[in-house]
Amino acid sequence: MTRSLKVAGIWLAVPLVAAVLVACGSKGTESSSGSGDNGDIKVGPGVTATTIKLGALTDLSGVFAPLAEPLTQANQLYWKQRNAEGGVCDRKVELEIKDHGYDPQKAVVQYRDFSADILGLQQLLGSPITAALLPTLEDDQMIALLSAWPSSLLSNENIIIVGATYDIEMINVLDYLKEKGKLKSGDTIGHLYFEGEYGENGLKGSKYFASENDMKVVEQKIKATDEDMTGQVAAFKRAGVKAIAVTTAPTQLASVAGIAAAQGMNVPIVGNNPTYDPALLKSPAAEAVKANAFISASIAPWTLDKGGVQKVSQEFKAAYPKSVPKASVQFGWAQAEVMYQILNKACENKDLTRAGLIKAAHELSGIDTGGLIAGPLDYTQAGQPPTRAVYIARPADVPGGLKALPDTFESETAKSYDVAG
Amino acid sequence: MSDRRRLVLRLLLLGLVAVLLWVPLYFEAFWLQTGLFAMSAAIGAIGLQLLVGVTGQLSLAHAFFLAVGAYGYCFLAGGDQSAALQAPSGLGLPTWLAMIGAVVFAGLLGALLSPIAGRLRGIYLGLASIGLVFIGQHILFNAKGVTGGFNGRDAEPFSLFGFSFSNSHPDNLVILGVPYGGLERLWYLGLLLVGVSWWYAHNITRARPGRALLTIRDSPIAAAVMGVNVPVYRAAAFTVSAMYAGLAGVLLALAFGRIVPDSFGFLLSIDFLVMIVVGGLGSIGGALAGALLVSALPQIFDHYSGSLPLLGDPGGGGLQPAEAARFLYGAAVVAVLIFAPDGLSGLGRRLAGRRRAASPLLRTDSSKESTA
Amino acid sequence: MSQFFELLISGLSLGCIYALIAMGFVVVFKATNVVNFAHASILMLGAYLVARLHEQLGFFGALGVAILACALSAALIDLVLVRALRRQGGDQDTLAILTIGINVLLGTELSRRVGTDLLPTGAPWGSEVTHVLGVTVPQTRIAAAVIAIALMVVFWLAFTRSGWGVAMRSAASDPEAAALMGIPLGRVAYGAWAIAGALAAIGGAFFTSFPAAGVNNATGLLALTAIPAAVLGGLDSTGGAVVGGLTIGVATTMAAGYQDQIAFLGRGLSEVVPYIALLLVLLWRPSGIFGSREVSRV
Repeated sequence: MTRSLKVAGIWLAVPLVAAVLVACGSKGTESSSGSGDNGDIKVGPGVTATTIKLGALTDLSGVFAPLAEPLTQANQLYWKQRNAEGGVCDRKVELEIKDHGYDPQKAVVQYRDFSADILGLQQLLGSPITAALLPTLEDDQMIALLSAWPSSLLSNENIIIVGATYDIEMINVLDYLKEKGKLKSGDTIGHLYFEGEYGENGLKGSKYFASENDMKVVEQKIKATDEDMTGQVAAFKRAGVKAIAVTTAPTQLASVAGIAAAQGMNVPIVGNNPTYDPALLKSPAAEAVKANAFISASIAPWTLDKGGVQKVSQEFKAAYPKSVPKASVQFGWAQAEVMYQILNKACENKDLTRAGLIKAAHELSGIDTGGLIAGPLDYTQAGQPPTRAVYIARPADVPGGLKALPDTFESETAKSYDVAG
Repeated sequence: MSDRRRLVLRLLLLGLVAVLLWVPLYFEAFWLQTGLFAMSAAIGAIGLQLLVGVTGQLSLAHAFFLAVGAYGYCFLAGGDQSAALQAPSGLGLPTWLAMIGAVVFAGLLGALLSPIAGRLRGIYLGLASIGLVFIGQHILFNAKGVTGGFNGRDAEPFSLFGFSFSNSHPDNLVILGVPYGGLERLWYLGLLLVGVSWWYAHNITRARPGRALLTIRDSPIAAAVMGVNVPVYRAAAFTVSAMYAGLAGVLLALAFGRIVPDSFGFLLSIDFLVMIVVGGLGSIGGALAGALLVSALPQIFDHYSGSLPLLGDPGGGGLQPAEAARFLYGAAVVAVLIFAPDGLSGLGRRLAGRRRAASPLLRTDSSKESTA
Repeated sequence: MSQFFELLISGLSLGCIYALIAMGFVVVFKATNVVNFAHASILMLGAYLVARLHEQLGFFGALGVAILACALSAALIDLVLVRALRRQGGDQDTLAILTIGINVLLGTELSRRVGTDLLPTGAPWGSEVTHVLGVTVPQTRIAAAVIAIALMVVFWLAFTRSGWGVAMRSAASDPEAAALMGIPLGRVAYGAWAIAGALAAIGGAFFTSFPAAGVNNATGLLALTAIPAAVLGGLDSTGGAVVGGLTIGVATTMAAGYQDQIAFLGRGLSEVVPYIALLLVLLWRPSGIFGSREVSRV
């Protein structure tokens, strides 16, 4: 008995002692890494005379890795260029990236790991992660630029959404269909959506559109792990839908498009921005996707004929030649640009603290991302989306897999829609 | 045991306790957060060990009971209407009562579901119990009024006699020059709960109930012949295990601050099973060790991998820390089992010089049920 | 055409895929008493190889390579790891955990290789459909159904008539006696694992073909949804695996098709329905529909 307890003691004591030696430096002295005054500017954590440290909490190894990896690379590329041009507020920006693999527990630990050392979050991805961290982010007054577009978080001051929200995307594209004569009063729309924030928000949009246009919505809720949409499409067919709305991931869009075409349902399929991935053009459903899909996003497709967009596409291609072109690159760049604007404003206000960043963010309006995001962005209206315009894109065999007109689309319904409703 | 050995033992234990108490003075938020999650895992693992390792009933429903404990606590203690209009409801009970209530509720559900456990045997029970987890998650996602749906809900900070285990009440508590916020304070609560859990399980296994359970594990027929009421004991084991999971869930809710349904999935149940097998089936101390390994190791690895370049050029074969952590998890499981099938506790005993497992708790070949 | 009938046929077609996957699961359990969680990542390995090689070798060529590779990997897992653990006295639970560990290792490596891609498998039937009793069914599913039924017949014949089949059944039910009778337990074991590997490759290839979009980094996880199918039919019955697979396929498709009508139970039941079905069946027959009951002897 003695020996085994001694062994148990060794198991615990040795690593603890080792950890003690490793974790050098007393915790008591709250090392104000930059807190206080720095010249005549107030600074917060992560800010020194020469650097500003930002964090990125994203998914590089889980379900959203295909979108998040190029996005994060675009963040990094942007700051690399900015720093070469002198940075912001006479300081270079450092980005610390953490990969949570879509596990909320891991994300919380990682956040705790670096939250004391960063001024703000350049990127936060994952709705369960955001939900779990919301109270802590508020407590820490940590600004977070979301790689997601839910309207439910618009009222949170410290959450910055770069683009139009999912419900507005949906309203816009359904209105586009109506304009083109593909939807009439009295029609039924089928909506396939993911369980969670993302899906529910898209559904809210289609339901609002339907209520304003004397149409009906038939819902089908699925989980991210459901990849075979046979039953769902059968239900839509039964209901005689004239259009299918999709607020899911690319795999489900492909499944729906393929099955619907196979069943002889040649109806338009409209999707929110995360539903598309250029890889779908190589899948068996490629023809169906090209024929019927309309993607609504406030993010510009890779080939959009606008100066800012082309520049980003070329530079990214040069830096990451093996990377597959997709719109998350445009988004990552725009997200970093918005952060740059926020930091710049905060610098002007001489307040580079966390609270200062939040305040500066909501003083910004008319942000022009060179076309990367539809419409100028306006963060001065509390609780309102920064833009209500989108690009309506069609899948095509071009780099990035989407083609769109340079003109943005913003319907009257979308303009008058109350996000808080 | 000689007096001298006893003294050395006591001193070692005292030293260990002292180090654990002193941790919040020295370690930063990352370590405290990881430690709190590990403590919750430890409590859950001990509970599962009692069911699987000691009584021989395989169950993969542990995540379900953790969810019951966590959401039960949040519901019983919450209900603050100051938040948005769609805030989930709650009873607003004092938190200590909510904690007990959540554990009792988990136990009640365990007792209710135990007849199902009684009807199914062995691997079928294990695989069927996965269903409970999925059903549970389905309810968590859909019963928005109580669970907050996919947005989850806040956990009311624990408080006792006016002292709150959060960043306030008292604000700015400073001990020996170190500010004691929520995480630091929760650390002690966690230690207490783990200690109580371990002590209770330790006592069960050393006394008559434990021996009855072990006999049921090794040969239910022999147990019945000896007068042990097998169904009742099995049901009791299921209930106690559920209560442990409930308590682990409460601690998890407190450690998170805000719980979401995604945390209580099938993979969590698998994690717990891995914890107890890697720790050594049947050993309570092993469950603790296994919980630490499975829960804390990936986080620690991730923490120290910050020096590796995270994003190499695409196609450059840069190994992501998360992937490396998963490799480590899988490799640890395989390695521990191949080289030490009676887990870390068996390994520990062997390192200490014992040739074979001394405790009757650990299974050996001869104790397996044979049908020859 | 009534909606019920449509959903039934569609569900059966989905069920054939589950049946293929479940069969591999069952073969290993039947022969070696191991619940093999690594089946999911072996499946992903097969699907991955088909997706990567179909351009050079054609679908069937790639499938052939995948079958060989998966059979080999599975046999190796048995020879090297499972046997090592058995020698040390590992029991059923411990072996199951071992396969979980292997699954994590293999699955992580495959996810890494798939990375951010979505890889189609290039099945020759593409997105072609045929009409079965008035219901449109993808041709890949018909192929899967044909193969599943053929395999079921083959296995039934093998288990009941062939020497190898009898050897396997006796090795599973009483290893000591079987060994005494001269049955090469080792060969029977890795043979069963190899077959399971081959089945995984076939199942994986169909699982990721139309109407699914292709192999992605979550494919391994998805394969675990076939576990209820295997258990429901009885873990040691290949016929049960087919019945189980079909049942789960129909239940899932029905739950989706009638989502509006059962919305009061909450939406999105399709992930839960297989397990509810499983629980109901197990309450009625605790060892699965065709599973052999555990006999306790003192």
